[in-house]
Amino acid sequence: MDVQAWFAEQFTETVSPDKLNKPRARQLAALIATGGYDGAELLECRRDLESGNEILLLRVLVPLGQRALVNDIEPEEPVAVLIGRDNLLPHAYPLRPGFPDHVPHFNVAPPDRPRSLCLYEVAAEEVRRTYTAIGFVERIRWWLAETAYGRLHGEAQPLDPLFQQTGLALIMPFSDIKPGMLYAAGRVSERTDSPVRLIVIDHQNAAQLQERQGLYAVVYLRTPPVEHGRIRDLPFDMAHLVRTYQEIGADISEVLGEALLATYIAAHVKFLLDQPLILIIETPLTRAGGGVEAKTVRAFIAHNVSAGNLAIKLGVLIKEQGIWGRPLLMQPEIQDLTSIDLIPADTHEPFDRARAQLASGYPIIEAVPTALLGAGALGSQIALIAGRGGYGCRIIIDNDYLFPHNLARHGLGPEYIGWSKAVAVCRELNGLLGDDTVEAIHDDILSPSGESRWPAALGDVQRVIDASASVPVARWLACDAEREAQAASCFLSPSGRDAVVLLEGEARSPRLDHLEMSYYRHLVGNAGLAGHLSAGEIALYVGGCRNPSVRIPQTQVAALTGSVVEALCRRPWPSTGGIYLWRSSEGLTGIAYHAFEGEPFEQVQVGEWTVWVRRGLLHEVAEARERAGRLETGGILVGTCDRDRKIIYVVSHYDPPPDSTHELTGFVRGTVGVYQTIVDVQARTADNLTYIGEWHTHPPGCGTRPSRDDEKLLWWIHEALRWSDAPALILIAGDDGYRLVLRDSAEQHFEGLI
Amino acid sequence: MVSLTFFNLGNADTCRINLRDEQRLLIDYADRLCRIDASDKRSDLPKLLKDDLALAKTDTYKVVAFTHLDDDHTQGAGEFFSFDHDKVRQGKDRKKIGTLWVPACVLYETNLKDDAQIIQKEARHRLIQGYGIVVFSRPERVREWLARHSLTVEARKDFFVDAGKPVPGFTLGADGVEFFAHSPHATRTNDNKIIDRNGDSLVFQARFQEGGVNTDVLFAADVDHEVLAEIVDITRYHGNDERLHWNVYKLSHHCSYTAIGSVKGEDKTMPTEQIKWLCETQGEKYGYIVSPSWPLPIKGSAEDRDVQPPHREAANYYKQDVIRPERLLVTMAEPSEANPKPVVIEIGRDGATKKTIAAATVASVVSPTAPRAG
Repeated sequence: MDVQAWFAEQFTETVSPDKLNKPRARQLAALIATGGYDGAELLECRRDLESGNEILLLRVLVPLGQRALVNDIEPEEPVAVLIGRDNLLPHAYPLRPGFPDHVPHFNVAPPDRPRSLCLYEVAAEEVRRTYTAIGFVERIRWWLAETAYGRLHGEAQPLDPLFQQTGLALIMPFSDIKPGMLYAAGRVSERTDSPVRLIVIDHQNAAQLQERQGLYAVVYLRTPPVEHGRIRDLPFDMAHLVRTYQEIGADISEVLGEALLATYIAAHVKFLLDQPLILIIETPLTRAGGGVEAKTVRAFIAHNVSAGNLAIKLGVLIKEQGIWGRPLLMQPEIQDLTSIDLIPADTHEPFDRARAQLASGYPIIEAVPTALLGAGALGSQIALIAGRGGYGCRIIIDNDYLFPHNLARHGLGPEYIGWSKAVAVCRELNGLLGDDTVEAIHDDILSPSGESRWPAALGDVQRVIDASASVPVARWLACDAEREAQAASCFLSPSGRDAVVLLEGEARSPRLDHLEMSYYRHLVGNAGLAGHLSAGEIALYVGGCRNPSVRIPQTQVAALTGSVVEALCRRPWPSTGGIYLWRSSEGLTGIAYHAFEGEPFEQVQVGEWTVWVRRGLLHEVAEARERAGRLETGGILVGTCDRDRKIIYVVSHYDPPPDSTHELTGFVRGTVGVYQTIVDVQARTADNLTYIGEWHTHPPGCGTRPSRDDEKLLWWIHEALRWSDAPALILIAGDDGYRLVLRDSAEQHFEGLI
Repeated sequence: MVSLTFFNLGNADTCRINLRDEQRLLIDYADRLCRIDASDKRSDLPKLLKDDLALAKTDTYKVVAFTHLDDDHTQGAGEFFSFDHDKVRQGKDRKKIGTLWVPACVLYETNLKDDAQIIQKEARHRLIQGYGIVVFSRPERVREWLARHSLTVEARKDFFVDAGKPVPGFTLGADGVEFFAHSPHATRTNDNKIIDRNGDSLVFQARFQEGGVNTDVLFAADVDHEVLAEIVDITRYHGNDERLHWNVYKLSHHCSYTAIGSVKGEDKTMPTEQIKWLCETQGEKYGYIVSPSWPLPIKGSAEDRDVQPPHREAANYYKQDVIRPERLLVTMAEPSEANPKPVVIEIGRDGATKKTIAAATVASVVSPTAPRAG
């Protein structure tokens, strides 16, 4: 495909950078246009008049060294960055004719569209939270450089499957599946997107299955091994499927015919010939130059043709007057297969590890109507442990289904595989509690379908337990959700060794996001919490690199969940809120408990930004001002920015470095220890806290109006932070309170007084 | 991360090498900024170097090398460094020199002034006292000078390194870097009645090893094509071709045509045979050439007619026949002429890669001294 021509055809209007409409397009153009960033050059901006989407054509400078290249990547690569809807991330498309298309980590696209680079291994909403233009371009440069050296797909990373994910799921049986064995398949529920489950047919169950509605005939094939690399577009008809496998050296039409013939021959399953067909193809995968390391298994549902009719098209069977038979021709003729539509489905390997035990219940203090957000590992276990103690949730919301790999840590059993997690947990809880008071809502917490009671259902509860393990959900709950209910957010640390509960106070003060900031502050200040946010070890990828499953034993989750249930369900929620953290030791030889009070935050609007300042910080700055007497003092500020919501959290301040200069009319912040402090803060909080600006005091008798020196300082901070898309911030303490002075990306100056 | 930082100083050289153990080396020092001229885009070299040393929590350079004593390689050194020979030039704000590298001519040049004279005195002091110095040349060259100070060649031979030898003090195994001396070399120093500064400059190859991969950086001081040709001939004669291999080539004399050939040329300087070999066969395809110079002149402009470098014709040779055009890095034009910044090249498992200007972390950007608040 000529990608450049495709973009030229779609994006017909040339636009100057200052006339771009999309905010992310403007940010990206501004980054490159300043001349201060040398990772890419801006060639042109264009717009699609129909959709309003915009593209920036860049010349990306790839950081290639002199090492021999594995893939043909040039030191300069033309790339089109497409910016669509505001809630979507930009996409990057290589434009050079001859750009290698066999390398892994392209996003899949329909055959008539170009493919963009797969830049991230985490979900899009996590990327959006911290997206910056410079981070995006640097990610493109990184992708290109790592691809050039053949390192983009890590040595320890599982091989990419042959085909993209589909969204439909086929659950494999527990026993080893073998080509030639006879199977049927049926949907677990009536929902059209619910998983399909494979069933082994034998003489005992054949008669029963014959009566079942919605059954499929299943044929399982295995092809020769192929080298992993480009993820292929999914075939949507049988002819395309046959052709795709022929390209990789496998002729499936003959073995397919043989398998269908076997179905005819096995009398007890002949009824399957009248059922629609599911074709499952297993292809072993090898790494370049290596042996078989993995396999890719894909299923294709031929919904508009029965197994028997496919056999007719393949020339292996005939049907006369309702009777199946074999043709007399020695060489079967294969008829046109393009009319056989296929619906691809992802297969889910069976999971055969044992389930763990659940803790016993506790006496109830008070039944409080509670909503549980997230019925995943932690949420389900909270629900079921609490349920076994008689504590029920009024509402459980989740939009995920239970898959075999979830069994490692989920509260549900294998009989619920394929069920909606919310529905299944609800069913269990109602059974435990002896009534039907629990309601399941199967919907997306952040993007509700409009077909359920979510998020209006929040009005029915007094408490919300967020067990989604998602920062975007927690932030939505804190900042955007319409509710009066008090909320608690609970999650495990990335390694799974620690559990955390952030619990709002009465009237939602302190708020969840403020508790989150206080939590980070304690991670920095408390030596006993070192390593709390260290990364966990990934056990396996389920359906691609953005869906990793971390290696955490159920023993850990169970032990920590019990502690969480104690805090959330067994004890009253304190009016001042709180932060609770349980640290388990290696081998679970002990669990250390840490509790911190919630801290209030003061709010001030500064231009477009809402700034929340920890109240304790203001007191500490006031004390520093008093100690400094007639001299000015100051230091750095640490916090974070929520760029989507335009919220700044000012969390901590630091004392002036020893080489600072304190004068009656000025303060110069020194350097000793500053670098290490910021590095430590970032490391301990996994970059959730970082440098955000400077604080200083004006002497007694002076207000907080910024001086000319302060304006210069603000400009300096603005220059320092420009590539992180964060505004520059100064906090000034004086007789009239605390003034926040801010300079944003539009180089506008705002002030707010606390 | 091992890195080289070439500072934007106009037609002047200063390169800082950061080793993997966070030690720093400095090759030349030239504080050229005019502090009363707000439009001067050259680096504030002492400030940048001090901020960097503060980050590294040290006040000492493991090595400071003065390739020769021209002003564009020494200006301001007398105020920046601490000199053991002169108590007046010591103090807590001055930065210390662990080992001083100089060419032999530094010891006996005459009519030196200012910073050059201070450096000479320091070099003499250290050699006489017998510590903290490496003199590039055969020790016999300075026999008379040593004798005048009651010293013998034998007594001080460990402080000399001749061309064609590794420079003492560094090994690939222990330090991840080694240095190989190319000049001053015997052909130029023998029978040389008149000292040619540029001819007796330090020329050396730095070889880094990271991730099992060697990366070579050639430092050519301000020597001309004749000296380079001698270096090539001698090196090849001794079978040390790989000692002129380069991933990064720090150009001689600010992109002057004299480093390529004797004739500037209409649009492109044509190389001598040896220079052609050095540039076109010893460099890496995706290597870098660093020109510590003002921006390249536009054809026909006043700067183009100026005899002083940089010379457009020389640059055209490098860009057309040696490396990709964007890999000729002119210090006063990176990332742009309007706002030049020091050029940082990182050395890693892929060789040498130019670091993006804006890729610095928040911590490193804001940790230097903040402007005054009031």
